[in-house]
Amino acid sequence: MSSPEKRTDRYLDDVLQGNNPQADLPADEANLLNDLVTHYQADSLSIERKNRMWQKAQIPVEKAKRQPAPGSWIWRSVAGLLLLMLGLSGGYGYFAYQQYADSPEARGTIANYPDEPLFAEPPLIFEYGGYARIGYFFPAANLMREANMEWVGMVLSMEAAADIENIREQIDYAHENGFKVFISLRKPDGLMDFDSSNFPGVLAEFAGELALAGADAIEIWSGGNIGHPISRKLLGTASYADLLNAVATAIREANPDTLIISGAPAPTGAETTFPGQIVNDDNFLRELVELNAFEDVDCIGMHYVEGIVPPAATDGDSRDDYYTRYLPAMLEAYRSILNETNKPLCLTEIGYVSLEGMDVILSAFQWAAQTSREEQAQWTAEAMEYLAQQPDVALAMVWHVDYNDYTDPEDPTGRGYSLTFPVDG
Amino acid sequence: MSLNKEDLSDAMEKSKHDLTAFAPVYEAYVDRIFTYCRHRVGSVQDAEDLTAKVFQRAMERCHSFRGKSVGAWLFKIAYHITIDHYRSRSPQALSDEVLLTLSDSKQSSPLETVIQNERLGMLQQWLDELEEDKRNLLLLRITGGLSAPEIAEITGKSAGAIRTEIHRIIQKLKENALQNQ
Repeated sequence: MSSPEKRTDRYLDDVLQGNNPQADLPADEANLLNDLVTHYQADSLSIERKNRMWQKAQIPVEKAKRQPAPGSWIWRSVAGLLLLMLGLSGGYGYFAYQQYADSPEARGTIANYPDEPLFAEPPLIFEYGGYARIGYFFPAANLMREANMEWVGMVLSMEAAADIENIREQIDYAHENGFKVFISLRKPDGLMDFDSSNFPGVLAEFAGELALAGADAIEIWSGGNIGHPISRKLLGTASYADLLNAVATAIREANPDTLIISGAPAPTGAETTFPGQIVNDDNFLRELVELNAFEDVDCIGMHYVEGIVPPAATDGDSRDDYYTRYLPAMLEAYRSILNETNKPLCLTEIGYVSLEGMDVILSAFQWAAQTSREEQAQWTAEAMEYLAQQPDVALAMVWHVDYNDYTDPEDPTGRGYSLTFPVDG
Repeated sequence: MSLNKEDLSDAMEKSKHDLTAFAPVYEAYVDRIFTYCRHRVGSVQDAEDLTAKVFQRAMERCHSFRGKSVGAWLFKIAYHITIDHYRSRSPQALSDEVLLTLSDSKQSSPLETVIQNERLGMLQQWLDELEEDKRNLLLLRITGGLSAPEIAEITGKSAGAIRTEIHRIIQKLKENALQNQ
């Protein structure tokens, strides 16, 4: 004799499928289940309502197809920099929907529905944001909102798994402030070695928890073409492909709404100088394409962080003309390698260094010595406009909005890239 | 046109390359997704907006569908979308429009209609007193027509735990009914 739970389950199956219930249930329970089915049965919607919802679902697709005219932008220099990107705000989409909803096309007809052709390609709507401190106060929230940023980014390494509750609170707080949350899940700071037999599984579990906690996008392990922070040992392309698959699967199962982004390789041409420790980013991507590694991701990560010319420039760099110096050249190079994957690109880090106002300039960053704070702000704003015009770029995350780790005043990776200088330390 | 689960999975796979193939999936699930949203947020207008959002997201993310249950995948999207909406609004009582829709769905005598309305009204009250996750379970099982294994995909619990929990909810509602007699 089957358990009461299974009898209830079988009774429900029969009623929902319109069959004569076979399970033997007490009359009061059977009546209650029948009432529940009556109460919860699906509405029978009119063609008009179905049409209306069908059209609403497609409006964002229409928005993506209509390229917005380059809007005007304003910037301020040095203290309190703002990015104002007009013409890319969501208000355009809403207005367009109101016009569309009143149009004869939106009302739909039985002949149009559901045979009306949809769009061949999935819609791609460019969005941008920036890395910023969230914590308990999210100090840059208003500034980022004024700059029409829709995303806030945080960097987490494997060690952060010990405090998932804190991360969840920060994600919730960012959401309450109207931002989507981008998490760059980085390689361990050095405490965990690649040889750990369960390593992909441990990272996958953490990534799943982040997705469940509400992360809207997760970048998996950027800089996979650069060796371990301590041992300098490379993870290896095949191992990276396996790691990408394991982590992507875990994220997808935890939350299908979380955008999965492959880790951007570090742009570099130093492979021949550091054999066994570095693989050039273009070679790294070619190997991953051969391994079909990008099958499970939604977007392919890319960094552009070494520019000293305006974003649309294709020459003029005083160092050389290597493709990583120029944003257009990097996009072209990545497109030619990744063309067959049919995945969009996500600039998981884009930023310009300015050393203006810093006491010490490290020799490693002398290349940025001529970039003023004003140029830094101007080029960042122009880069967002430029990327918005690209048909295959889905997301750009500015590094960094309000970096405030001053523990190493000689390190420009924080202060040099930061658009503002928070004084709360 | 009624599609079985294999046909719907095939349609989803085709949608990854050609979104025109998504239309049968929409047709198969729009009624259930709308009803699910309506029960979750208590407003017909909001349900319409959220349903459109569910299918918009489904079309944007169809390449992430992995060949399992289409229904579970769609209702998982709907669950998250209604969660976000739920957190920003306070629950509303069902409008009279909705109650009238329900009571008009079956042919019955005036007395039977009154008795049924009264019974369904009491049921609605007991359901309102249930925790949100328990109401959600009933919605997924009955409105969504999802099996226990499919619900397990969405919630992360086992199919056995889902059946047990649904059975317990039914027993609780039975107790309410007995106390009311």
